Amino acid sequence: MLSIAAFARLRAGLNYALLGGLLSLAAGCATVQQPQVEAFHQGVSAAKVQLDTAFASINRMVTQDEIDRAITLPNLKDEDVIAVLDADSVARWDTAFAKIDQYAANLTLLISPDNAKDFGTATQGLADAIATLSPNSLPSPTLSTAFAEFGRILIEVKGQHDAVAAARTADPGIQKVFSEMAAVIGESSQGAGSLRGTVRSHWQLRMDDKRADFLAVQGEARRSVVTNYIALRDQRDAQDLQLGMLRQSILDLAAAHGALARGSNIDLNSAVALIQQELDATRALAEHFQSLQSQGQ
Amino acid sequence: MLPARLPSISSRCNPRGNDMANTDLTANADLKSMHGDLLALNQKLSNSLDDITDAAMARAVVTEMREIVHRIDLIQGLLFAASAKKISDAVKAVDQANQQALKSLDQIKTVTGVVRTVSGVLTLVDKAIDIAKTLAIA
Repeated sequence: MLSIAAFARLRAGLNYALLGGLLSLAAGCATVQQPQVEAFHQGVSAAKVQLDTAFASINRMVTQDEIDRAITLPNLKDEDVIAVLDADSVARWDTAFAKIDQYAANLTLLISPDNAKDFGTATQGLADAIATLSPNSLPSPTLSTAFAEFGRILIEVKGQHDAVAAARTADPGIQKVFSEMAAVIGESSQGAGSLRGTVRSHWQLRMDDKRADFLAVQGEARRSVVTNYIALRDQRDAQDLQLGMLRQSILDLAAAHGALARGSNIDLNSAVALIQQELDATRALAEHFQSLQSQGQ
Repeated sequence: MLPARLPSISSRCNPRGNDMANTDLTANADLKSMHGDLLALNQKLSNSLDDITDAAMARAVVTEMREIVHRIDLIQGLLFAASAKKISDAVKAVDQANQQALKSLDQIKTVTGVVRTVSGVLTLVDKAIDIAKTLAIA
């Protein structure tokens, strides 16, 4: 025969075992980690900042060259001094980034440990209230803590499940947005229809302008022409590298989101790590390009 | 040699006007192809400078390149506007997912609120029972 105390201990043990099993089951579900989703969110914000900088410098360069052409014309028309990246279209890019940014922020909130913690605290309060009201309804006072932990994990799992479900809904759109953006920038500076191709054509024009200058002068006067030519070549290479890196960051953001939608933490981890490195490199290249431009001026 | 001012590409392609909304994939592919042709032509003119030693001739080539680059800009502008439209269309799926995430956040807040309310009610019931016990003893 079991004593009453031994029976109570056994019942408490069984309850813990049941809760433990449920906790393991919940914890075994596919999860995405908040730091990675937050890193994706930060990657989106950083890519937007880098794109803004890149677009502004492209428009500045095009305008300067358009002015050089316009002053040779018999009259001036609006289309002679165009902004290649017009304000309406840039605003559409901005809106797309703003929406993805907001969505990523909400995903981060959804899997925030704070939600689960709040629910756990509320659950513990409920368990304590039940225990106070009816001391026999719970086998052990400490069980309310386990009950709270179970509640916390349930909410955590719900948050992660819902985050992955939302990511699945968003993914086709996100893939299209990022792949379109990457295509606009271009895989190489030779690519038809790419911004990199357009940018290269401007540097080529500027460098060839120096080559024409070179033929018009002799001797020592050629030194400054050659120096300017080299400076332009360095700027061309720096800007193209910057755009190439930016394109790669955008493609990796797409890869990261794809991993998020699949609930694949491993792929998400590696994509997020790459994004961070590439955005750091893009930022460094942008600064290098700006310093070269300042030296040129 | 190109004329000083080529017929306007924008007048043929109607940049950023209402017609832009109707620009189909074929038109974009044509623009992309034209952009590629102009990039190649620009490169060819640049390469021709390798063999030119006359300053005036080199300057004439650069002037032609300037005209070509202007047209590259015009086409790039059209392509950029078309891609921005595609991006706007694609981002609608993100709106839907955002609503989904917000709904889930609301559910979590609601269920947490319900549990807190029930705890509060039970605490009140507990106090009422204590008072009832006190009154019964009295």
